[in-house]
Amino acid sequence: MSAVLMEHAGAQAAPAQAGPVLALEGITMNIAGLIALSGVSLSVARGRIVSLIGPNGAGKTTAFNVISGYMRPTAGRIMLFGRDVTAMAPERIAQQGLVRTFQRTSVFGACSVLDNVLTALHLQGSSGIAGILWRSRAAVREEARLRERAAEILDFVRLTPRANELAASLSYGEQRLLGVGIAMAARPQLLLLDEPAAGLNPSESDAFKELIRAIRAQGITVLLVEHDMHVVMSISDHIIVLNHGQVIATGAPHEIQQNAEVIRAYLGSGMKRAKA
Amino acid sequence: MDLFSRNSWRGFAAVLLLATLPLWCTDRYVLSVATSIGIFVIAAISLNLLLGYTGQLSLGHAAFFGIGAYTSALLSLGFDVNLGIVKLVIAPKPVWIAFAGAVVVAGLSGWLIGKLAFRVRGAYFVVVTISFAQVARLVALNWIDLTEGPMALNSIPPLSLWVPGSGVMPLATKAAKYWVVLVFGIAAYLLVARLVHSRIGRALVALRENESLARSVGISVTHYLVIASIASAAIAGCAGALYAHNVQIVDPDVFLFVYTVTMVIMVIVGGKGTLAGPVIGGILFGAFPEVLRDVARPEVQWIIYGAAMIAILVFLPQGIVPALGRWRWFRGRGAAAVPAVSVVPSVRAGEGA
Repeated sequence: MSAVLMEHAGAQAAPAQAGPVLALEGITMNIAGLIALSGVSLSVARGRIVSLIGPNGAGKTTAFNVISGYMRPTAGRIMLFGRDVTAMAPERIAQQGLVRTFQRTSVFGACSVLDNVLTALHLQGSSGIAGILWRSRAAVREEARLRERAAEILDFVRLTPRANELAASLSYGEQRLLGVGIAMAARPQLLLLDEPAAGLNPSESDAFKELIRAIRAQGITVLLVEHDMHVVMSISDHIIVLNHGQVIATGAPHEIQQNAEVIRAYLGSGMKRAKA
Repeated sequence: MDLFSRNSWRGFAAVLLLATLPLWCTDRYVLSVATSIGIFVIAAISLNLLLGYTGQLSLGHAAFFGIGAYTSALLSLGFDVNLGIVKLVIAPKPVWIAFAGAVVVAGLSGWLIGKLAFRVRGAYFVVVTISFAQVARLVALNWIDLTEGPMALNSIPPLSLWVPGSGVMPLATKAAKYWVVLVFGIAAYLLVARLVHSRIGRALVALRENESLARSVGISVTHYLVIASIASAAIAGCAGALYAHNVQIVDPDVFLFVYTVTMVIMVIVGGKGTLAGPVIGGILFGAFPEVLRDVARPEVQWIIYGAAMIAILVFLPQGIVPALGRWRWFRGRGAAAVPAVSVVPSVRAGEGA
């Protein structure tokens, strides 16, 4: 996997400013009268694994949807790599280098695993309709390059043996891996993972932790929403806790584990289990 | 399953068989039926690009076909029309220029519909396309200065070919008309094949399969739907122009809903989202009424036609071509049931869509 990663990391360098890669400034989100997020401000530093946690209904997924452009915030501003991306369309935000995965398995079911990744390499290609129809040399070369890159990504998420199978025929855990492969193919600088470990068995979730660390090792910043406290506590550099649509605590894992308000508001038994 | 992929002997065999048809079958009636089936197949191929690959149901596809037919007919006959302020007079143009004009005008109308309709997808797209075809029909029916209305445009010149030595020859024989349609059919097939096996095609399928996911990796939904709509309409317009120069008369009935429905049936029965689907479906449902004509009374024909369609969809809900694809004998040598070990070597070679 390393060759891919190096190449990938090299491409990251682009906006090398010191500020956070992502900053939410007073984001409020009103959904049909319900306040899902209320004045949320948070920031994500470059090269870290940051977890967004909180009880069900705390607004985590809404925050993801707002950040990635699937929902338009009622108020507030989202700064991505120092640029205002509030209310930008999801595909435009993806083009800026922020790519997300989805809570439920999300793949192109009727396509082969390889085609799933090839599809997600869309932004790495530039062939236009004329080049494609005339089979210009540039278009043919580009297609070969994309296929090579797709093979590397499949190798990275360990799905090479499944390349020619339909995505819909993969197991749940494999589909989650493919979801990450798809996101990685879009060449993120900031990757949002929505409950990547949900429904995985312990060995699968360990493998997933390794994968997330390998992603960070490429210089990609990771923001994840996760319920599994073992995963969260063991891989996060930084944790943000949401409750009732508000940030109630931020800090390193050990600080969060000791934060009285966090324990009261949400964790309780979950935290005890995580400490054990 | 890609029946006509480059490495497939079946593709060569099929093309060879179709190309030599006028040589071993001299029945002029059979040839003219084969020609009109070919035109329908081209229209079905164009519809499949939208319906099969982007998943958008265009129920006004006959409009693009009709626009192509009328444009090519009008340009080759010439027309003058009073637009209130200016009087537009167009002298008769050479047939191939008229033909190209038809493809362009149909493509432009595809662009217009794409722009309008894809902002509101799904059911709204269906409604917009139906309305579009109805409006086009009403225009053809009522703008008598331009279209002759129900009196139809007559004596449309046939397509022609420049032959060294003897100059420009009209393609008037049944065999020549058949070959022209065959050439355009193969071209349309290859065009769509290249398109769907490319970066653009994958973007289209991604939108059909999972639009949110497609957007999350940066695929611009509307952009690619409009491209598909333009390409689809242009190919349908080409089929319409072939029709106009083939039967040499065009009336507003080309816009009838039943033609759209026939194309949809061909695509769905053959297998939407497969390259060979509209070809198989088109040949089958194009030939079916002709075969039935000899064996059953007209009312009975339609009952059999409907029953056959329902039976195919009950037993082969994905259509004929995907069902053949699952039948291992038919898969060809390349695609073994065992997953390939290496990823890079042309995965497309054996299995197609």
